Amino acid sequence: MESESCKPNSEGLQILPTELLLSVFEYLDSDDKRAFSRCSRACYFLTFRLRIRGIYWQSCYSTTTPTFLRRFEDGQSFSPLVKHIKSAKFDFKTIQGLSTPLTVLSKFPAITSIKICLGETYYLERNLYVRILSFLITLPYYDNLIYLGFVWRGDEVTIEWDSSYDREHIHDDPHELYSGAVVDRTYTIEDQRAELIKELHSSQWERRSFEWTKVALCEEEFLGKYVSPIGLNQLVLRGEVRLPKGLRSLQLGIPKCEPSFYLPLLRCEEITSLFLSIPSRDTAVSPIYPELNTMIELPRIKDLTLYFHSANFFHYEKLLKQLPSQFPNITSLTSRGVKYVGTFLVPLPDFPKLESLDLDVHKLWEIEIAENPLKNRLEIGGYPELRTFKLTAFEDDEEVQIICSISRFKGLDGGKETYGFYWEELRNGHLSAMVRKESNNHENEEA
Amino acid sequence: MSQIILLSSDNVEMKVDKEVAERSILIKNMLEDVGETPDQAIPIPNVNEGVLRKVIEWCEHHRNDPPPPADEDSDSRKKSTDIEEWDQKFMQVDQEMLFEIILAANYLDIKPLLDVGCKTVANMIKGKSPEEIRKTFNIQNDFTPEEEDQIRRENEWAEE
Repeated sequence: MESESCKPNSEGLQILPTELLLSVFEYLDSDDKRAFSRCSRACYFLTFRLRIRGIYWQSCYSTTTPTFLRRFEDGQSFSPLVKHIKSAKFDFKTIQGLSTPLTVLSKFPAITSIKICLGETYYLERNLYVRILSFLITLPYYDNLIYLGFVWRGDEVTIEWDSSYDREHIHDDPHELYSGAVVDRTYTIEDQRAELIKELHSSQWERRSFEWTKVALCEEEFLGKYVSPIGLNQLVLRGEVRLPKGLRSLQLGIPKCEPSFYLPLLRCEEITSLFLSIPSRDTAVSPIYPELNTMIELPRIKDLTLYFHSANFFHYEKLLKQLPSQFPNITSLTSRGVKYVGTFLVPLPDFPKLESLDLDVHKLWEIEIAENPLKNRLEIGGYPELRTFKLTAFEDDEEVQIICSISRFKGLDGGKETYGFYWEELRNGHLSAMVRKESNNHENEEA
Repeated sequence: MSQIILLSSDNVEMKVDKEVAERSILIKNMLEDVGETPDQAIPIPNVNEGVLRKVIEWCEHHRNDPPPPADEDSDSRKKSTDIEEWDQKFMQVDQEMLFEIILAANYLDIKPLLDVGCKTVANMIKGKSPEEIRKTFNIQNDFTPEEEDQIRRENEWAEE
């Protein structure tokens, strides 16, 4: 293919203006672009925007800024490339030194996507959420962010507790006392409402755990004072904790995610996509702040992903019932964690605008188990717009999907609507085989 | 068949069929604006005689080609670097001429010729190591050893 007589030109490729060189690179795959980028500094700079979307910082314990990031600082060799960095992803085992990468973000003004993955976050999640958002809000480009992702594994802190620590280290939060949510003392008074006492016990215990964890981590300054659920709601209502105005997608992969975490979405007009982590217990969808004792409705959300921490979906009965009211306009629903597709389809509520439903399964043979409940749900009219039904599984660490295209056939003379299922298999995004073609043949059907 | 005269940057006149010259969107628009076939030569100030002759040769060969499809900018099409045999032979020139043809195609707005030129350069890069690419295009390696090390370990810090 190469022109045999092409001899090097003394001026080389530099004779071509940047836009034409970029046109050339459109014909190259990523390996070729990488090889070209390693020819010279000019080649590297030229291809950078086509190859590299963002920065990635993975660390177990180190809190020093890596060498590669220092190269982007003013006056350093990569500083002209800062404008091409659109995303940042941090993956830290602990929260120690987290303020350093957050500070680094201010050097990249073109960032529109931030993902923060953390390991040991148990008992600290609400404070972390507040502190990280408070930090990000100070970025001049905060409202330009279109994606924000928190993927926290929720591991408990592995450092041993300080045995000399006792409860006198816990200071009452006057703010909480003022708001009527006294967590330290109320449970000692006689109260007939067992549920309330239980809740306060739980809150007390959570607060102690927070304090102990914080002491063990020595991240006192970064985490600040304990933020209660009510405290978070108040911060949101006062606008002190808010999400970027231009945000389109929010990923809350936080094991103990509370409704208050996505309460700030009420002020995001561009938001369409939400990923929620659902704790392994029945969860209310409304924040507990008394003045907001109504459901948070998020009509802007079209694409909803729910990650369930328990495969027992009966834990989520209340939450599932509320979903259609809370997210009345979703067109795409993805569920992860339950893995029993046949039975999960039974309590799943009706979604009148749903076009795509994606459920995870243990094994792809569950097609047959899925078909009958799916037919039943379609027949009773729960999903009048549903066109695509996906089953997702992992086989040998590879994501495999089987995708069912649903055809609808109108019955003659007002007869019952019938359905056709056309199954295809996808591995790593590539269509590999048609696995099953099932048609729900009825005598009176017509295409 | 009406003909027009093109004047290269080094003042050489070339008579060309109007239909052939109109493969260039720049010339086509210019002629449409004028409204009639001009008697005087049309100056092409950015293209010298040698390059202009090559461009006209390409336009002559492709004078009856159908217009490019409407979705020609789609990614799937751009990824293909297949070049038809005649164009491959046409592009077997030294690099200086190759780059000049690309520049002229860009200036004269001849998109299919520009695509062939870009594909030819892309094919000179594909499948090669950095050292081979340097040799092909006479590129000097000016990385510092530290930068080279950083770039080699790029997968540790860069999100593609």
